[in-house]
Amino acid sequence: MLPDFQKVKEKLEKKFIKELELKIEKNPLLSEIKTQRIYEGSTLATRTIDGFENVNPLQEVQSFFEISNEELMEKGPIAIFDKLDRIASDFISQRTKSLFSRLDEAIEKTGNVVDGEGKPLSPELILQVLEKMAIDFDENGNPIMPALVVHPDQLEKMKKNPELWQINPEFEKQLKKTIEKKRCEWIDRKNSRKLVD
Amino acid sequence: MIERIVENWLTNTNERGYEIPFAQCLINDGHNVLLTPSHGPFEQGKDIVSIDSNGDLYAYQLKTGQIDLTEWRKIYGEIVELVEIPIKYPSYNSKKHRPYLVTNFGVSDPVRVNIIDRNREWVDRGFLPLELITKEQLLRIFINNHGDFLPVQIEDFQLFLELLLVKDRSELNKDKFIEFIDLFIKKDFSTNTEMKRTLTSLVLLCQYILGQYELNNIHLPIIEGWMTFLNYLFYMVEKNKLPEEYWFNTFKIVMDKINYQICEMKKELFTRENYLEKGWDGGLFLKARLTIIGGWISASELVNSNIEKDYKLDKTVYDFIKSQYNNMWYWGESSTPFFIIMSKFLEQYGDIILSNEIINNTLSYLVINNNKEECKGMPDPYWSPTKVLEDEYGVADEVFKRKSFIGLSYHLSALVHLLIKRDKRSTLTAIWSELTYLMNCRIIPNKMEDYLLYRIEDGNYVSYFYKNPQSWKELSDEAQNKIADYIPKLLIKYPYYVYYMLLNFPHRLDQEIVKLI
Repeated sequence: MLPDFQKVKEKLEKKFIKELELKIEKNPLLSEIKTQRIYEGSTLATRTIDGFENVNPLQEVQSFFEISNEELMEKGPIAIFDKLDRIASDFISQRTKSLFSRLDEAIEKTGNVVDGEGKPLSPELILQVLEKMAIDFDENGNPIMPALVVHPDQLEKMKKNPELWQINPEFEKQLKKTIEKKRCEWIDRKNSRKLVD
Repeated sequence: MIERIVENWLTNTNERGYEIPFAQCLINDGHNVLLTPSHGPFEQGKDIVSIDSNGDLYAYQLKTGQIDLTEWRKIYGEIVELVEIPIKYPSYNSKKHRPYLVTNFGVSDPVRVNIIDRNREWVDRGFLPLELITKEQLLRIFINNHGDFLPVQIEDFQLFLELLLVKDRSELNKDKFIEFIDLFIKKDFSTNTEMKRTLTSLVLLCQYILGQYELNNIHLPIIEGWMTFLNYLFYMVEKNKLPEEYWFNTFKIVMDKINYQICEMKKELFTRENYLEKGWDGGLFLKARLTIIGGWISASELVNSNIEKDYKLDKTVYDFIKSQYNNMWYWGESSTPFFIIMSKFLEQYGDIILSNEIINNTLSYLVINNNKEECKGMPDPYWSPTKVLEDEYGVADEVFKRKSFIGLSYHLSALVHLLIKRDKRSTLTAIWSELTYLMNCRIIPNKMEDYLLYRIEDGNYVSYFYKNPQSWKELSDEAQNKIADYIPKLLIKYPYYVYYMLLNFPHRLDQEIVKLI
């Protein structure tokens, strides 16, 4: 081996991973999701309060990139750091895809689906979705509303119909009603958190 | 414990790995080692050639692993040469030698029978019979020579293990290696024999530590490790006024080893399509690597041409420096010796223009980056390339205040000295005003031998500016002056050693030591 500097290289690798994680954490969707480091095992089995079970293998997320020897010789580690944004977006895309694919699987199993029947997304449809969901409340009694993730095409359609999304007293009324219903459900859920015979 | 450690090491090493300790044991037994494989290619099947106190000649062929009939057939040609071809060495040319086959494992029975048969023929034809040294005998030789020098204090033993089981094998942990050598060298000795025995033991322990790099062909830590050992050997010799007969053979075999290892690095270099290493490479890593290699292979050429009168400087080394100079990197003052030594090699090779250009560029780069507050700051010679790389790539553990180096230089006076010696007054005149903003620094030990240590504890830190105006004549006279008396006598006696020493301990470069190269 020709003279080398492995200690510095290891530190650079750690720095790169840290910066990559920071970039991924900035993604609005992924940043909403709690992460947990798992140190052992090869599959992930989960069981919800409702008793639904799901077993999935751990999935590898990887990104490939190429750097020519000429570029590497000239720029060194900077050539790899230059790819950071691309690698981060690759990771985000893979993680998001995996997230939705797992969601789809879970939804299919639980039957927790609202069929839009091809209609565009509307406040009414959102109310229907909320009806099907469990919503928690914070210590001040405010609902912790779920994040709404829409496909970019759907977002474009929404932008084309802004009047549909203006404040609508009827929607407000329905939403309030739904939230109150959800509050009761939440209180019931909370009260059921006890040991019984 | 010692038996187990020696056995574990011996069975896990290759012939290169036990060659130096074996030669050292011969020295300890009163042999004068004439040649080692590191010295050059042996066509006659002889790895080590020695002569004992009675004037009897010995030749050794070193092997690794069990020698069965298949292996025996493979090496038979070399064995015939070992036994039959006389040793070609001045004043010993016609003398018979005792041939030995040495292996760190065993020899199968059919091979032993074969050797007995061959020995009959050889003796009939007037040669001395082939003798065997196998694992058990080797172990005994090493253990007997080792003595009780294994570190016994828990902390010392922990230090030894840390060095032995190091994770990062690309670099030698010089601080810890020196801490370990200190345990042996810095103590008080009552007899010269005790010192010689300590050296034998230390050679073995150093080989254990450096052997792990050897097995993976990682050249630089081996070179730096043995160079560090030699510096401390010189320290021990200077401090205790140890006569040459007790240490010179050890010095010689270790120098051979260093030369051999540089040669291996050179061989690897010239078989590469590019000079990249694994992982996050290129950029400054590559530039630092090219600079380090350029320095060591140039130094090796200079050492060889100093030792051998008719040595022909290697054109491939010249071509490498000429083609790669623009890809090299002055990372700080610890790189100054690398550029100076490349320049010295080029001077000797005959490319005076490039030789001067390197000195001029090094001086200009140092001055321009360090003489004013608005400069970036050039790390002093105590900062290794690793530390500077960590800073450049933003991964340093400690805060690196580059600005703190501004206005100081340890190597300015050495570079100025070289230009004066080359009578480059006009070059110096062009940059003189700028360089006068820099303060010259150096450390002068209170005891001469301490100059050979990695860190001088007892000494004066001296700093000064050039005068305004400064007389050229005065500088020229100083350059011609006798070397200062804090420079160890051994360095004056063996000036070629300084080429290697300065690359290993770049902070020792100053206006006095540079007079030796």
